[in-house]
Amino acid sequence: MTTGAEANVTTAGDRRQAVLGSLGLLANEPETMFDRVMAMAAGFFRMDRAAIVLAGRDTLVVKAQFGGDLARPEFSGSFTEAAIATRTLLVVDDASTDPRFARNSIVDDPNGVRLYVGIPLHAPGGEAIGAFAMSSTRTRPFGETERTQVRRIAAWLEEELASQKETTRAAEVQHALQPKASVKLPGYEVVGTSTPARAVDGDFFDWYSVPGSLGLTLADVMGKGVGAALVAATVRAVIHTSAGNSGVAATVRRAARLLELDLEDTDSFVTLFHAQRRQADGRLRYVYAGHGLTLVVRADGRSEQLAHANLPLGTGLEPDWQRHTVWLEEGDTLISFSDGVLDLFDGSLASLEEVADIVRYTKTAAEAVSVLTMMAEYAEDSDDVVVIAVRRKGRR
Amino acid sequence: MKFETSPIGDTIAAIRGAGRLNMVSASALRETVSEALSTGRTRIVVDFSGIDFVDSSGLGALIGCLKSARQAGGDLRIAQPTAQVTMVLQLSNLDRVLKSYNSTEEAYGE
Repeated sequence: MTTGAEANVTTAGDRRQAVLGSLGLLANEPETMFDRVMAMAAGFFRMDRAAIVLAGRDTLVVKAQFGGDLARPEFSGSFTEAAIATRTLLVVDDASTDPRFARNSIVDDPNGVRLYVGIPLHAPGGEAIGAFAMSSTRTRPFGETERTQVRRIAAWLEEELASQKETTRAAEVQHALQPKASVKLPGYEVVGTSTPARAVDGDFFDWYSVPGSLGLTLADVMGKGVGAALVAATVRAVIHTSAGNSGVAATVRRAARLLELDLEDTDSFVTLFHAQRRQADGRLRYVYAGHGLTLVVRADGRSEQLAHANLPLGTGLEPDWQRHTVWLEEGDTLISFSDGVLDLFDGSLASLEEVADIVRYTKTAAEAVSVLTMMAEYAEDSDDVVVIAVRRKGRR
Repeated sequence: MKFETSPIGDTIAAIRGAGRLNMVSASALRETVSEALSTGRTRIVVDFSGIDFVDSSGLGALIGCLKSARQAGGDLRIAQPTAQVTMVLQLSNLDRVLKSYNSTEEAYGE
C-alpha cells in the first residue's frame, strides 16, 4: 500500500516506515508462529526474554515476543536503535553499567535487563527494519558459537518476514485474477466461488462471456501454495486467450502443449474441466482432463455425473483430449467443483449425491453455490473449495 | 513414511509403505523407486495395502515414478489400493495408466 506521504522519503526513519508499510508488517497482530520461535530462542540461549521488534519512524512495534516486554514505545534511545546503528550483532554485557542504556526503563530496576543481545533485521532491499533481540536479568559471557547461531536465526527470520509478504501479494494477485464481470447470458445463470484453504492455492475457476457464447473453466493444480498458484495463473491465461478462437478440445490441447515443460519440470499436473456454449440451443461442449467432479441435475431431479476419460494435463502420457457434449434443458443445472467439496461431506463418492441434493432443494444456482461456500467457511481443516454452476432458467 | 523394497525374481521390485502418501512422503517414494530402477529392477509394484490416503502430491510422485519406470523399459503398477486411493485414481482418470491389482504377485503375473 503506498500513500502520498511515502513519496517524500527523507530520513532513515521515513525509509524504515516506508519499507515496513510496503511489507505489510506494521499492521499485523503479533504472530503466533514467531511467538513460538521466540520462546524456543529464549530457551535455547538461556535468556529470559526474546522478541522481534520492528522500528517505525519514531515508534517500536513488537512483532513477536516471549517473556515480557523487551521494548519501550519510543525508538529514540532504545536498544533497537543501537542495534540498527551498530549494523551487526550488538552484545551488551551489563546494560546497567552502560551509560547508553542505564536509564532505560527496562534496565533501571533491580530485576531489569543486564545482558542484551540484538541483531538488526533487514528487508529484502537491504533496509534495516528492526531487530531480533534477547535479554537476561543476569549477565554471562555470550560466546562466539552462540553469536554465530544468533546470526543464523536472524537470517532465517528475515527470509520468513519477506516470504510472509510474498504470500500476501500472491493472494492479492490470485484474487485479482478471478473473473470480475458477472456473466450476462440471457436465459442462463452462471455463478462461481472459491474458498481457499490457505492464502493461495492451485484451484481456480474462470469464465468469460461474449454475445451468444460462454466459456468456463474449473481447474486444480497439484500441490498448494505460491508455486501451485503461479501454474494456475498460467493455465488460466492460456485457456482464456485460446478459448476466444478455438473449440474446447483445441483449447485444452494448446494449453497442454504450452504447459508441458513447466509441468514436467515440477512433477506437477493439472486436472480441469473446460466448457463452452457457442450455439443458441442448450448445447454445452466440454473437455474433461482428469477432473471427475461435474454433475448435471435435471429439472425433474435426476442427476448424472458427466462422462470422463482423459488424463490430466502435464502427465506426459496419452496427450490427447476429446470433446464431449451435454445438453442443458430448461431448469437443468450443471455444477463442477474441486475435490475439497467431497471433504465437506464424508469424503467418498456418496458426497456427489449430497451435492445433487443441494441443487435439487435450492431454486437458483447462486443459492446452491452459497450453501457449499458456507459449509466450506465453517468446516474445520477443509481443503480448497472451488465451485462453478450454470443453470438454464425456465420451469422448475 | 518409510518404504521397504522386496525383490521378486530378477526384474521386479515390490515397494511397500504405510500411512499417508502426501507432499511429505512423496519424495521418499521417488527415491525408493529410483533406487530400485538403478539396480535394474524396472518392473515396480507399489503395495498400497498400508497406505490409507493419497493426495495430489502423492499422485504427482506416482506419475513421476511411472514415467521413470517406463523410460527404463519397465512399468509401475499398484497392488491392493484402499477405497480412497481407488476413488482418487478414478476421479483423475489416472487409473487408466496406473493399473491396480489385487496383490503384488498378480501385478506382474501375466
